[in-house]
Amino acid sequence: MTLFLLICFSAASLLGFAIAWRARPEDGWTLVAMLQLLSSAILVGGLIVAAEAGSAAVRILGLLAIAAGSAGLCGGCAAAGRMDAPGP
Amino acid sequence: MEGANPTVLAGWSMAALLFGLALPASFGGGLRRGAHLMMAGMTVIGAVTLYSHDVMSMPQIFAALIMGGAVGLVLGRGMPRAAIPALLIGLIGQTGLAAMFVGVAAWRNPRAFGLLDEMTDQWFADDAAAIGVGVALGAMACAGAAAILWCRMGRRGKGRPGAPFFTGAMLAGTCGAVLAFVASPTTDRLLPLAGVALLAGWGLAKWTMGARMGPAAALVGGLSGWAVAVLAYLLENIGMAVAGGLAGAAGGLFALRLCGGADRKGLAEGGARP
Repeated sequence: MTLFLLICFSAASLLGFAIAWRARPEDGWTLVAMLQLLSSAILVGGLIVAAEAGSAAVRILGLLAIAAGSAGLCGGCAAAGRMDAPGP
Repeated sequence: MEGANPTVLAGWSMAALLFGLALPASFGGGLRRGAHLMMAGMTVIGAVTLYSHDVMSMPQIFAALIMGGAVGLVLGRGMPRAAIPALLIGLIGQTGLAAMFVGVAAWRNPRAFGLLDEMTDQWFADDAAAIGVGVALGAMACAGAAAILWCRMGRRGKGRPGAPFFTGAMLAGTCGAVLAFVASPTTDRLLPLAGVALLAGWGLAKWTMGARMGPAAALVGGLSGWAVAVLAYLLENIGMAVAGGLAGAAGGLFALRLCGGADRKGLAEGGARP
């Protein structure tokens, strides 16, 4: 399991390096928007922590992580849509 | 082990494929398409996670999801267009804070995640290291985003380079604090670790701001991606590992390229775009 995870992580990192190497500086804010959306995967960590919570404090931390990740995902998606659209 | 379940493996593979397609698809005017692919990937991975765990607090989880999503939509749709870069940086910092929460929650509940050796009741060293590094990277991303926003508010995007000596000392201190936490994962080691990492993130972002705001934004995004990847190792979640690896590698290398003297137009003029 851990080996499979490390292989997937290494492949994803190589793809990330290749994309960053080929990206032009003009694409910068596009890349930052996508980095923000990718980082929102912490939402899944919050789901796991809240699902397995053994105490109230841990559950609250997990729920806070879920709320933060969900806000990041929805806010980032809305912001990306506006960045891509023409107009003010 | 949850990884043996073929449904879970299929879900992780689909999510990883969607993440991998989303990043290249977003360039050349396809940002909206990339964001939609990313949203689809997150939905798949979230559904697989809920399917594969015995969820004890489903109503609270859905309440947090809906509440966070509503706040995000209000921010994303209501902010002025000129403030969208600041919003993105703020959301990255918030992700770093969430990574700290997840790391601390796993540290407080080690038996649920199998982080203790059942024979000796001692922490596994790799899991303690994952918690320490995850919390440190999350704190650095959070403080780095705060530093960028602070400079942007006060100086309208013209960052002053921070002290390299201070930043180097804080980074070395963070490494030492992680090692101390691995040796003995207690509260009195975790709090200094988080404090030193916050200072290191602040210093690193200020230092990178010497090359303007864009490289610092990419660096902070990369830090938060690495935090997600490290916590994915702890929680044994392949979808998170793929998302974190993509974000960490892309953000880190792009920031290095811009700081290293690549043509700095574009991101570097972040105060005026998008």
